[in-house]
Amino acid sequence: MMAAPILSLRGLTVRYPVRQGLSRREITALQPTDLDIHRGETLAIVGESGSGKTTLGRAMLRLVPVSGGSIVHDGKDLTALPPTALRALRPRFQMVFQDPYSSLNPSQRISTTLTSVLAHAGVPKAEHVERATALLADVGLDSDALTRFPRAFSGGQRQRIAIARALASDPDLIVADEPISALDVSIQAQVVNLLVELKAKRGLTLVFISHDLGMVSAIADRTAVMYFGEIVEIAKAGALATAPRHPYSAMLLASQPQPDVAAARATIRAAAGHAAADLPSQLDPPTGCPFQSRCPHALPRCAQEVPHLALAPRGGMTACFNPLVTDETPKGAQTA
Amino acid sequence: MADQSGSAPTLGAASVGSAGLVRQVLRSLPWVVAALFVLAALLAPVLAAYDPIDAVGGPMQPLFSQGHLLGTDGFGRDQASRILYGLRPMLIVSLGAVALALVLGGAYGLISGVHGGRVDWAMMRGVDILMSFPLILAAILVLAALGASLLNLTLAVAMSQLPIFARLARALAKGEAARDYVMAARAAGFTQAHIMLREVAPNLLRPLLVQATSVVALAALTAAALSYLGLGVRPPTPDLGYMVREGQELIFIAPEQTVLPGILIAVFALAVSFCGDQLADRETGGAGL
Amino acid sequence: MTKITEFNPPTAISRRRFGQLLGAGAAATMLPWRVEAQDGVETLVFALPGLVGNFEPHTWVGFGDTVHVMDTVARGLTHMDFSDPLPQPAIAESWTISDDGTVYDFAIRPGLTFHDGTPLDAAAVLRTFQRMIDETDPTRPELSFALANLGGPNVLGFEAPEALKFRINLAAPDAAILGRLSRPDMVIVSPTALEEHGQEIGLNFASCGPYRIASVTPNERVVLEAFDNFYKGTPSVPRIVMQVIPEPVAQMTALSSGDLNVTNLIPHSNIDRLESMDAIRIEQSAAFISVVLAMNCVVGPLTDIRVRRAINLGIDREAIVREAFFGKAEVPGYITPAAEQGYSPEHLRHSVHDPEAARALLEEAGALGTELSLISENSGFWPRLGQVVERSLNEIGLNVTTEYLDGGTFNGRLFDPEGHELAYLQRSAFFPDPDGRFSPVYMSGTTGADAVTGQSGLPEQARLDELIMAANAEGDPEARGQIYVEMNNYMADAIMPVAAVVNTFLPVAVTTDLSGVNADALGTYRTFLEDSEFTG
Repeated sequence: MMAAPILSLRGLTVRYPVRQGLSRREITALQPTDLDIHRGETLAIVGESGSGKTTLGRAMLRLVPVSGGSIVHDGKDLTALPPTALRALRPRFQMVFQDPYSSLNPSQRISTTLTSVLAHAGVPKAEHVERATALLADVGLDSDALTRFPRAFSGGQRQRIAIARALASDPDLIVADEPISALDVSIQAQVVNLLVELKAKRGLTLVFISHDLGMVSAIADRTAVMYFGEIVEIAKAGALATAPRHPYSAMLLASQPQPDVAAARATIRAAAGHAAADLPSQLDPPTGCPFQSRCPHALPRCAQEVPHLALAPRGGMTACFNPLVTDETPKGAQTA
Repeated sequence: MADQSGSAPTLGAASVGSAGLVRQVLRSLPWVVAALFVLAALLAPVLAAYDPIDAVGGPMQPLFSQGHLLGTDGFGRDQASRILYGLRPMLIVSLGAVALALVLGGAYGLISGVHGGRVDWAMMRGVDILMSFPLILAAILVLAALGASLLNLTLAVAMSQLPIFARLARALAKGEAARDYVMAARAAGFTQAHIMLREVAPNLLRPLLVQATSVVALAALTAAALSYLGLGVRPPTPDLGYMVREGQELIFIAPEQTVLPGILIAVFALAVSFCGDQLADRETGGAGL
Repeated sequence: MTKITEFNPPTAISRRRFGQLLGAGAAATMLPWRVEAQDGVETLVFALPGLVGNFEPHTWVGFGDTVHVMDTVARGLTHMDFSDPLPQPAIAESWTISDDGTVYDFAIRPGLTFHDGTPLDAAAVLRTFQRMIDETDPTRPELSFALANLGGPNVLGFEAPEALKFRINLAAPDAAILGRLSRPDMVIVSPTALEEHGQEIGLNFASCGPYRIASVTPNERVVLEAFDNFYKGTPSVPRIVMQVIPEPVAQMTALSSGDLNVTNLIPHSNIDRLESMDAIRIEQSAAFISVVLAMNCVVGPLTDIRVRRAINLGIDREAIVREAFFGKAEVPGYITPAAEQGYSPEHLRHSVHDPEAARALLEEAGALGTELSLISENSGFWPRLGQVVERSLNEIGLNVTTEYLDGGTFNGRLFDPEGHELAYLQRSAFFPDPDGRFSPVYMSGTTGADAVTGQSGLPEQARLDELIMAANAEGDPEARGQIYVEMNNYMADAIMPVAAVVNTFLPVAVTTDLSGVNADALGTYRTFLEDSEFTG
C-alpha cells in the first residue's frame, strides 16, 4: 500500500486573461492536470520554456490564481481554504526560485529574511539567531552572512541562502523551480547535490522543475514531461530517460547535449523538417494534439482529436495516439 | 565620468586638480544654500532684529537705512525681519507637503500596485482624475473649500503632489511585486499587509525619497504662488509669497519690497532642485553636475 | 510708542531707471489696441478691469466693465455729474412734481434719436421702463433688479400721456427718485433694438449716450464712436477705446508710454510717483467711496453697544489713511461723506480715535480679551486696510482675527447673519444723493440691516426707519439735508451698527494732453467722458 500523496492535483487549471486589442481573451497556461505527489519522492517536471512547468509548480502551491480543479492535502482542498487557513499551511510547502537575484529582498539583511520566516513559523525569538546560524551551516555558509545584504553574495551563495530560507519553516515539500539554470555551470552541481542531500537528511518531498531531462533522471524518482500546458508523459525517471513513450519526450531527450554524432544529426534533421516556429500559439490553440505540427509520428487522427494521458504499453502514462514502443529510444526520432 | 561618490576626494585637492575642485564646490553649493535657508528660518528669532509684525520705524524706508538693512514696508515693519520669518511658511509648507504627499501617495501607490487588477485600475483612475486638474488649480480648489491657512496650504500642496508619488510608487510596487522575493514571502505565509509594509515598501523608499527631493522645489513654488494669490498664511504673518504680492504695487517706488522675496523664492527652489537632480543622477548612475 | 514719519516717496535714481526699463519692456508687449489708433482718428484709451461684453442694464453681468461702458454709451432721464448735489436734466429737459409728491412728469427733450436712428420719445422711454415693472415682458432679463433700484413697491407705474411727456406714479413721495434716475441701470434703450433682440439686448446694445458701440471683443476691448445726436452735442473726442488692462502695474507702464489716457484703477501707493511724471496728471477726486466696519448686533459680545462703541473708538483712522492709503484718503465723519448733502463737520466726533476710552468701555462691558472674527476681501486695498484695523483693535484689548476671503466667499458670509461677527462694507456713490447710503443698507427689511448688521430688530431702529422715510418725503433740499445730518448722529449715538473706517476715491490718472475728464465721477466708478478734449 502506498501512503496518501502529500499533494493530489485533480483537474488543476490555470488561465490568464489577456487583452488583445479591444477584446479580452484567455490563455490556458495549465490545461486541466491530474497529478499525485508522493511523500518522500523526488518528482521532476521537465519541459521547454513556455511548457507550463513553472505554472504547474506555482499553481500546486497556490502561488498563482487557480482557475479550476483541486489541490488536496490531508483531505483538505487547498483551493477552497480561506486565506488565513491557507497562510497557516503555507510554511509546510516552500519554493526555491530560479533567479536568486530576484528571490531575495535586496533591502533586507539575511538575518531579517531568515528570522521573519522563523517568527512566522512560531520559533521563539530567543532561538532565532541560533536557528538561522544552523540553517546557514546546513547550506554551507558562515554565520557572518547574517549581517549582510544579498548584494554581498554571489549567485551560488544567494541560491544557498534561498534554500536556507525555504528550509527555515521546516517544510514537508519543496518545489525547486529551475534552481540552477541561472547559476554558473561550475556551481550547478554543488547546488543540486545540496538539495538532494538536504532532501534525504530531512525526509523532504522534492519537486524539481527543470528543462534538463538528462540531469533530472539522475536525481528524480519520477519524471513528468510537459508540453503546451499539459503533462504529456509521466513515468519512472530511469524508464523515461531510456525508453520515452511520447514522441516529444524522445525529442527532448535527443536534444540534450550528447556525444552520439548520429543521434545529434538525426535531431537536427528532424528539427529542420518540422520548424520550431510551428510551436502553437496559446491564443489560437490548434485542434487535435498540440504537438502534431512538430511530431514525426503524427497520424491523421492527431489533427482531429486531443490525446489524453493514459497508461502506456510498458508502464507510466502518456498522452499520445501513436506512442513509441521500441527500446532504442533516441532513434525513434529517426523513424520518420 | 569619474566616480563622484564622497570617497573620491580623499586623494586630496592636489591630485584631483583645480577643475575637479571647482566641480566639488559647485556640487556642494546647492546643499549649502538649501542648508542656509533652513538655518535662517530656524534661527529667525535670533537673527531678526525686530518683531516681524510690529511697526518699528517709519514706513517705506529704503534699503540700507539706519537700523533697517532692507528698509521698512508700507506699515513701517522691518523688511529683513519679515523676510527671515517669511522663510518659515515656505519651508514648512514645501517640506511638510512633500513629506505628506510621499507618505500618502506612496501608500496609495503601494496598495494599488501590489493589489493589481480591478482595485489597481480603479485607484489609478482616481489619480488620473486628480492629475487632469492643473496642479495649481487643484490646490486652489482645496483652499477654496477649506479656507486659507498654513495647514490647509500644506494639505493643498500635498494633494497637488500626491499623484506624482502615487504613480511612482505604483509603478515601483508593480515592478517589485513581480519579483520572486514577493512570491517567496507569500509562500512563507506572510499576510498581504506584512508583504506590503515589510517586504515591498522598504524597496520603494529610496527612489521615492529621491523623487521627493526633486519636487520640494515645485512644492515651494506652488506654495509661494498660492500665498501670492492670498491663499496662504493670514496677514500680517510674514510670508515670502505674500510679500511679493504686497510689494507688487510698489514696484516702481520700492522694487526691493517685491523683488527681494521673489529672488529668495527662486534661489531656494533652484537650490533644492539641483540637490534633487544630484540625488536622481546618483540613483540612476548618471553624472550630472 | 511708535513714531511714524510722514510717507515720503523715495526718489533714488536707480529705482526710477528700473521702473522706466520695466515700463518700456511691458509697453512693447502691449500694443495690440494701438492698431485702432493708427488711422489718424483721435482716440482716447481707457482701461477696463475686465470685459464680459454683455451690457444688459437691468442685471449687471460684469460690474466694473458694464458701468464704464454703460455710462459712455447710454443715458437716462436725469444726470448727476457729482459737481452739484441736485440732479440735472438729461434725456428729460425738465420735470414737474405734483403737490403731494407722488406724480413726476418728465418733458422729453425733442429731436433726439437713439444710436440706431429710432426716434426718442415718451413711448420709447415708456418701453424701457415697462420692461422693469412688467414681469411678463418677453425682453425682461431674469433676475431684473432695476425696479428695486428705482424704488421697489413704491413705484406704482409708468405712463406716456403725451408724445414727449413721460410720467412716473409713486405711492408715497420719494425725494431721491430723481437721483436714482441717473443710475446706470436707468438708461433709456432703443425700442427697435429691444424688439429685435429681446433678452439679448445686452449683446446688441443701442441707447442714446454720447458714444455708440462700434465693436466689442470680450475680454479685450470695446471700440466706441462719438454720437452726432447726443443731447449735449457731438463729443469732442471722436473715438474711445476701452481696453482691458487688469494689472495696475501694466496700466502704469501704459500710462507712461502714452498707450493709455485714462484709468481709475491704479493703487493709491503710486499716486505721488505718477504725479511726478511729466506726461501724467492725477485728477483730484472727492472721496465718495466709504468703508465701514459692520458689527453684527445680534451675535455674541457685539450685542452690547458698549463693545460696538469701543470698537468705533479703537479704530485708528489716521493710521489707516497713512498706511493703507498712503495719505490718499480721508478720515470720515459717519455715514455721509463730506462731498454729499447731509454731512456736517460735527460728525467727526463719531470717528475719534481714543484707545483709552475704548479700553475703559471694554473693561466696563467685561469684554477685554474677547475674541472676534472679522471678514475681509483679499484683493485690492483690503488686506492693507485689514492689517491696520486688526492691529488697532487688538491694541485696545480685543483679540480680532481677520479672514481674507475671495469675493464670492466674502459675500456669502457677509449676507449670512450667522456667517460673520465683524465685516467690512464698501459703499460707492452711483449718484451723490445721501439716501443712497441709508435706505438701501440700514433700513429695516434690507439685507444690510437684517443680515449684515442685524440692527432691524433693535428697539432704536424704529426711529431710524422713520428718519429715512421722512427725508425722502421732504421736497426741500435744505430741509432734507438737515434730516440726514440728524440721521448720521442718531444712528451713531443710538445704534452704532457700523463704525466708519475711511472715505476714499479711485485715483484717476490722466495723460496731460487730455482735459475735461470728470474725475469726481470716475473716483466712484461713474464714467462720463463726453466732455473730454485733447489739448496737446
